[in-house]
Amino acid sequence: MSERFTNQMITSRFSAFLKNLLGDASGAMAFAGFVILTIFILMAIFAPWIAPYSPVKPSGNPLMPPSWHHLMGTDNMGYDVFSRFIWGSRMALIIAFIATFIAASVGIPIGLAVGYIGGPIDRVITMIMDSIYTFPGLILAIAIAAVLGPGIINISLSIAVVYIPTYYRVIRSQVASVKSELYVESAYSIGAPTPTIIFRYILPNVLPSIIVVLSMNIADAIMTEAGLSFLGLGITPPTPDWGYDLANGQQFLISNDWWMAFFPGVAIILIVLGFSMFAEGLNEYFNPNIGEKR
Amino acid sequence: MNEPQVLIKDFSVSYRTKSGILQAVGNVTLEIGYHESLGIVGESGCGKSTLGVSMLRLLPPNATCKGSILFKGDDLLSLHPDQMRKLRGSEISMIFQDPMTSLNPIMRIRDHFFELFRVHNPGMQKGEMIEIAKEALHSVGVDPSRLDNYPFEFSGGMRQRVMIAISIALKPALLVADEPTTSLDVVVQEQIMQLLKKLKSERNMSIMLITHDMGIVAELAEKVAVMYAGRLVEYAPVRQLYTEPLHPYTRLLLRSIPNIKLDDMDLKYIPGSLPDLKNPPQGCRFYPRCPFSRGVCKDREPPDIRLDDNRRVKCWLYGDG
Amino acid sequence: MVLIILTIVFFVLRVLPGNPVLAMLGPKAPPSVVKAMEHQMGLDKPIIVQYVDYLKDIARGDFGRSTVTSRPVIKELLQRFPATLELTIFSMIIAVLIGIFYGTYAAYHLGSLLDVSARIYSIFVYSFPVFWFGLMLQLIFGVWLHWLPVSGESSPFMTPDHTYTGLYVVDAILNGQWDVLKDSLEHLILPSITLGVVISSIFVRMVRSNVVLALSSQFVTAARARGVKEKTVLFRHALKNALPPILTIMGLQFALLLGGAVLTEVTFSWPGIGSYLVSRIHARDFPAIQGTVVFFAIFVAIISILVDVINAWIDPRVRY
Repeated sequence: MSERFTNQMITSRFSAFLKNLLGDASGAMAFAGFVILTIFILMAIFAPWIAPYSPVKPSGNPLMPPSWHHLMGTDNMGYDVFSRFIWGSRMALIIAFIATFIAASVGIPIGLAVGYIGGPIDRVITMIMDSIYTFPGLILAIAIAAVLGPGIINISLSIAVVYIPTYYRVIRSQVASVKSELYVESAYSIGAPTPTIIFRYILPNVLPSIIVVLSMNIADAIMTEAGLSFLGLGITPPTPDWGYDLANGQQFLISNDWWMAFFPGVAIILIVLGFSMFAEGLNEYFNPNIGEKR
Repeated sequence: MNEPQVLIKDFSVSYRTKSGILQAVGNVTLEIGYHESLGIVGESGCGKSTLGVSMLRLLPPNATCKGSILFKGDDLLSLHPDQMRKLRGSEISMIFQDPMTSLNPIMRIRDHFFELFRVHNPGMQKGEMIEIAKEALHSVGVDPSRLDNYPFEFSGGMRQRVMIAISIALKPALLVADEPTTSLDVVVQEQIMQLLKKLKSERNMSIMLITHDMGIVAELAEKVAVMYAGRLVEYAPVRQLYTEPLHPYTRLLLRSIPNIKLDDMDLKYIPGSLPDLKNPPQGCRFYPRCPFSRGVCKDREPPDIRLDDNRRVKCWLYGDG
Repeated sequence: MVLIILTIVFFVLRVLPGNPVLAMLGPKAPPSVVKAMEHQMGLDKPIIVQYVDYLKDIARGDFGRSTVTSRPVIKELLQRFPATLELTIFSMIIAVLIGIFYGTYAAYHLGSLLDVSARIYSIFVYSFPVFWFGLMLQLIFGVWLHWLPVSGESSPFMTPDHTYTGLYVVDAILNGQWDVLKDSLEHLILPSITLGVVISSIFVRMVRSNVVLALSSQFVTAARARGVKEKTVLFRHALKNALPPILTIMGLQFALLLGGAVLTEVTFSWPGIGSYLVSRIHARDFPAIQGTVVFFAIFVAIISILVDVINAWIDPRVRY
């Protein structure tokens, strides 16, 4: 009896939350972003079933403009651009997720530990992290990718290194502020062991901002990956990749064969929009800016 | 002069907010004579600040005004924006509550003055500008050589003096002071009040003093207007207000000032809270908290009852209007 | 900061898998030749010694020699640097102008169509891949309209006679060669708009939110109460006070600008150090790669110092 009641309460509270979210401009933006990114994730997962043709086998004459058979035309190898559009989401998302995962798994623990311990270690590590952070990310990724070579893991690693400081900073500053909160002091004074303090008290309060950072980061990572592939430092052809397709499409612009360069770019724009709208919207919904009329 | 310098007639201000229309000031009629100081008192949210800002026509874009504010015969509300702009700082000036944030932090004091002069007196020579600026600083008790300093180099009290200096530099006829001493400590408060008194007599200007502090009103004001929930509830010369308060709200206000001479240990307060200004009640706005209320108070708003040339109350206790 | 980047670059390029000598000589090279080369390049010394030598070399300005052209890397970098500088400066100007004007007016007309469009602009344009945008501009203005050239810094024979700064636009003016000026500008427009517009998305948002904050402060109301004109209030009071945090952000965004510059240079075949880096990577020219990254690090460091100086100049509170 009470179970059904709880379930009802949860769903009605959830729908009230949704209504509130959608009514508010930033909430609506977050929701729209969420929808877009979900579409792309589904696109990536179900690519083999959604794509009309294989992205790596010729399915028509090369360099054909968009038509009913090939919604986005074919490229110079005869591959269907639309299919590569769909399959490209796999590469973008896989690399972005792996890179973000690595960056977060390295950056967050270090940030937690350093933020809690403080002292000279804090200064040294923060200095190192700040240097990486202020250095142009793309150039660092390029340099590392140049050394490591192509391959999914290698590229993910190159991108991950660039974003480790991001997670480090966010976590560390949150930890520093939460650390001085009263409830942490009281936990400390009743003799709670250090790991408990970190995980049970500090981490839960620090978590919300992580989601926003994660989403924003994935957007950036996708952009960086596309950049790397565009420069020829990404995955190897003929794996479908938006950045690579863009580079490939450049030479055909002059003959007005524009679709090879146009559509992959649109894909990048949409997916990055999705993740950044989600992050932005969420951030503004939970901490609205002062000075904005509400 | 028979005509008052300022005549506020049936003046109302409403704000359009996300959750409805809020009437901050409702049908206020007031006057300020030449060289006169009027105190406007009331608790936070009673509309006194809105009234003050309206004198300079500096309301935010979501505000709508009704009625008129006559200054030396001209209705400020129907002036062209440029005409109004010319009055600000030269005829009508305003000083604000927080001296810490009222001066532009990245501009030197002398630049504040120069800007003011250039706006109102484009032909002024630099030498003349410096003269007037120094004289203004001197009259508020600030070392004139500090013209080149930045605001952050002054303490709170000094900053307020500088603010006052800038506002009176062009010898305005009316000075609106919005809580000028609220964020200052008691000693500095007293100094600023003395300064305002001195300036008023030296420069023959009238002052609209907006505050919730009954103490400083007693010091500076000649007449007092009491506001509650956007309405003007009592208007009287200062002595009479303190010795014979008429409106129940005024009475409770005065009673709540702690008196060190009496042995009473309890702090007196007024129970209840302000009405919702988005959904104001039908009757008298003070009705829920009034210890003297009658039946009619709940149903109809009391009219303005004129007991004398300088005495008005908005309360059913004193007649039917 | 530069030191840390130098160190990281050093370790990345030496310690990670991939023997640069083998890459240079090819996998079929006999071991003795490889060893000799390693010795010549100092690669058989202990890591610490190599590191110190590396630092000493850089301090002297010796960035090594390119394995492809055998010329000193530093010379090649300095030769190509002005092109990147030109692109960076013009893009930054465009980004700043768009950012300040669009952002400030949007803040002033909060809630209006202009304001909403500014917010949409900043999120939407931020999602543009720089290289895609460049390609689209090339398509529209180069291919469809034939208005502008799509690659290179200049047409053949259209370079300034006398090199003063290395920036074609500036040199052309100093030389009085108006045809060269026109040609250089034509080549410069598309790349700088590409990079400038994409970067402006961040600036628009930053300027807008900071100016909104400044507009709601007490001193703005006080200025209005003194009769100051709205335009003056907006620019001298609100915007100027909003600038310090904006400038800091702009300084940080410079790094982003450089990354975008690399992509832009490749897209437009612009002969700067960005395209140099990419071509050296394809050629496995490790000294050049290392040198270029170091060069970037120094460049970024100089710019951040400059930003600090400008900040102190605008905001007197910082100086005291």
